[in-house]
Amino acid sequence: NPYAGLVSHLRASWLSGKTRPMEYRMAQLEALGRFLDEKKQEILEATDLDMGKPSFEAYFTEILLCKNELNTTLNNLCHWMKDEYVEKNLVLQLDSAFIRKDPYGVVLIMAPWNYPIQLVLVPLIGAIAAGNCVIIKPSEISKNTERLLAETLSCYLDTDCFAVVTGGVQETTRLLENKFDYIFFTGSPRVGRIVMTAAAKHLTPVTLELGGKNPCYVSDTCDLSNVARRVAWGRFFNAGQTCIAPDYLLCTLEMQEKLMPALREAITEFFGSNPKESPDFGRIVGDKQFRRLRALLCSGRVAIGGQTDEAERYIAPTVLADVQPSDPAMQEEIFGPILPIVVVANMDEAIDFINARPRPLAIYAFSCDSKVVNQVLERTSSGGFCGNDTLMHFTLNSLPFGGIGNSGLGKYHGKFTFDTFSHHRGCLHRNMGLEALNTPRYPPYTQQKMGLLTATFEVKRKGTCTLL
Amino acid sequence: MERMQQVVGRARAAFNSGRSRPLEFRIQQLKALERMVQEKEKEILAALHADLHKVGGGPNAYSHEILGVLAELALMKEKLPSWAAPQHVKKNLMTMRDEAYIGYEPLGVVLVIGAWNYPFVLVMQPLIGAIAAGNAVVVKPSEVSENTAQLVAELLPQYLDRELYPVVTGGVPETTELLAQRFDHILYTGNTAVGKIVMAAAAKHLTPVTLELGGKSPCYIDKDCDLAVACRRITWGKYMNCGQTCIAPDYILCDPSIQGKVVENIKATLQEFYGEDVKSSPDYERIINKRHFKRVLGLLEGQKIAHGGEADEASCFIAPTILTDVSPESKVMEEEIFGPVLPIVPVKSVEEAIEFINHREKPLALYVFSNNKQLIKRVISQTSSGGVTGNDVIMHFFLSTLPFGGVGHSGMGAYHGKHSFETFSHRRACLIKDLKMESTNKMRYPPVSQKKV
Repeated sequence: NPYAGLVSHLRASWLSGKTRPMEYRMAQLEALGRFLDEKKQEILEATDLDMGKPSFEAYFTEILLCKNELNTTLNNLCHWMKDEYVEKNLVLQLDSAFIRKDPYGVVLIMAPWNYPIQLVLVPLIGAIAAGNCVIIKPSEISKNTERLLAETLSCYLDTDCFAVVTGGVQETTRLLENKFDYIFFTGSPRVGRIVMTAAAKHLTPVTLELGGKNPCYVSDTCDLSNVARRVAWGRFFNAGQTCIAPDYLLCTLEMQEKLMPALREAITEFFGSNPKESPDFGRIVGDKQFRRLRALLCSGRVAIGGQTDEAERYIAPTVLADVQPSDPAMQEEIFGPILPIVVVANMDEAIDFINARPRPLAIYAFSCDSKVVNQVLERTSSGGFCGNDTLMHFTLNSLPFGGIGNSGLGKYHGKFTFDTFSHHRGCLHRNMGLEALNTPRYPPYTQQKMGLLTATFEVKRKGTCTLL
Repeated sequence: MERMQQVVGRARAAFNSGRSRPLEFRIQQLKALERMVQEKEKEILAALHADLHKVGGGPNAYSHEILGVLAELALMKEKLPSWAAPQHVKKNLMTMRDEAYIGYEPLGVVLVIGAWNYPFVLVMQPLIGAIAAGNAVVVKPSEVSENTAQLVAELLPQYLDRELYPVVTGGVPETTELLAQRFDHILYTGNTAVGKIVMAAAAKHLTPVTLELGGKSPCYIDKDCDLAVACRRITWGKYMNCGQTCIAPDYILCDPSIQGKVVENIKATLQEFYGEDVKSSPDYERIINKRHFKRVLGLLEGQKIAHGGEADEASCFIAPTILTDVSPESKVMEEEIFGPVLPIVPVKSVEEAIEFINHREKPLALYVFSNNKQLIKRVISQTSSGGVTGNDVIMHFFLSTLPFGGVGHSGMGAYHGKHSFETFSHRRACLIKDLKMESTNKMRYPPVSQKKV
């Protein structure tokens, strides 16, 4: 077991109690803040090398969003760490009852390649804030960012308590043989199953942030150009390599015809007439992923884009029309700059279509009629939902971010990350005196004691008339 | 395979019909459960008595299994409307004009697997939470407490929607078949070994789980404490249900100088509770079956028995027993005892006790008795456990505003009261924007310039 030494080193640090004091946690978090400030250029460069991530996007998702999480945590940690006092029943009125937020111990964070800094840092911030030691396993696919993290995080964080492990499938499998006190995984449902199965051997609790096909319903009553812009923005951000990107569109035939020019206009507005030359459009992360995506282009018919360049791993912002549910583009999560449109007769058919499939990470619905948006929301199930826009629910960290069913289990962002990495321990601190109050519960049991017990334990339905 | 698939398939179809979602329906089902408990109280107590020799009509079974359930039902009915309401969240600058809230939605089809030691409440309390959250629920009571399992299988269909809340009975083969089906949440109460099996089965479907397991719950008694009171409370918690309680104080840690007094006080309390002849006390239960009887008796081998030790296989009776000067390496200190045997392990200081506790698997409950508040706080802060009661035992279980669950080998997830409702709900993040007001969005669109940033 090649990682046993590392895990036991961290476990020893954990047992020493080093990570518990608030000052320690704050200091480590402040250090992460310095990492984001001082290594900003390196981060932009690494993500550019990894997937041609436009620097605007990299700044927004890898730096700004992380700093927001950091500041939210630093501003509130003191409050979050406090014992949460709870309402007591009659019997326990004179006692102290509270929920203590305990760290789990040694936790593992496994991150994917598409937002390689953010998807390490945001869970890491919560894990540190909650007082844990952490092993970080970045994705080997975004190899420049992996190297950056492996080489520089140790200059900022306490190496007794925080370590970065690099490697591919083999190394990850060996790593998962170890016992962790929590595992936070972001990636595909297939690997999510493997992670949870490995966790089951040690009864390790997990959060799995997975994916799926996020449907986007566009009703007949809507502002065409706004819809087109918002959908195009969400779809083509990071060249489509976003877990909450609108994966496919559902609309009527009439709407498909109307949307097409609007989408074309939005794409041109964003990326110019030749997106290949735009500094604001990314590339596919690897050759394997490029080839997989290229094979999806034979679905329906290419209405916009469709051009590819293997040398650059470039796929043009593409919209496919008249896609059938049996087409290749509808068999898997796309994770690329391709937007299939599946024609439906009406909203009911769209809802049935969505409900016949595994529950996605996000559902989007566009309509000027708020009743339509609410119908889609109420009659479907998904990790999260955004009406009349895409992606934006992700940026509000007072909202929990996570999936359901195949798209994941657990949630994070803001306080939810802190809570994810804390064990909520129910604590009751009783009075040693007043033993007489306990007598009704002790044997020998009598009817009289029973009456007393019922009277003190019972939760009465409010509003009932108690005469005697 | 057929039968389980059908039962679960029907429950899923019933859930998909949407009828379990409206609050009125959920409350109506909860009211029906309430009627069931009130109308069938005698039958329930009789089944509990048959399974565990629990005093029929006595405060023990009544308070633990019936009162607790009624209290939970009353709480759910009252709070459900407020708990199920959308929770609006604080917005940031970009979302100022939007609607942002967390919606509480049912997960779908939930599986509840009960245990045999408190066979009624350990099936009912999760069921209540799952119904309140709007789910369909497949109930699998423990086959070991067969009378209660039979009764639950008979009663639930008489009071609840039959398709939404089916009861499945059977042993290991039936449970294995059941676990091969897809559920949207599984709540399992039982032991660590089976907990791993449940989680591995759940992993195939990416099903979230709540595992209420066990372990050895330590009980530290400080020199500075009212021994008479402490020992009375410990005796109550240890020997209720013949020690077959997941949060019973499993073993005692204390200074060798007070070990003798601890034994004396517990002996005195046992006399007070059960009289001279424990076996004839109507308030003392029995071990559930021969297998566990043999297992618990086996733990006494080679130990110094300071009190008790008597046993009668025919009636699965084991007397309340205390062991002294127990070695940490002995068999009785290896597994959760789950019986009326109380080992005392001498430790020289609270630091030693804390180290002892931290070198073992995290327990479901931790108990510490002391007049010194600071000491109690220190023990809590330097250890980890599912829950804690200071200066008493068991009691944190009865406060439903506290989450009840384990950590590490003692489990994951929690329930009771609002925590049940949240465990069985999906918290869906909802952001509803205006289709107009596009100008505020322009700053995020390409092409970009430094100005936008």
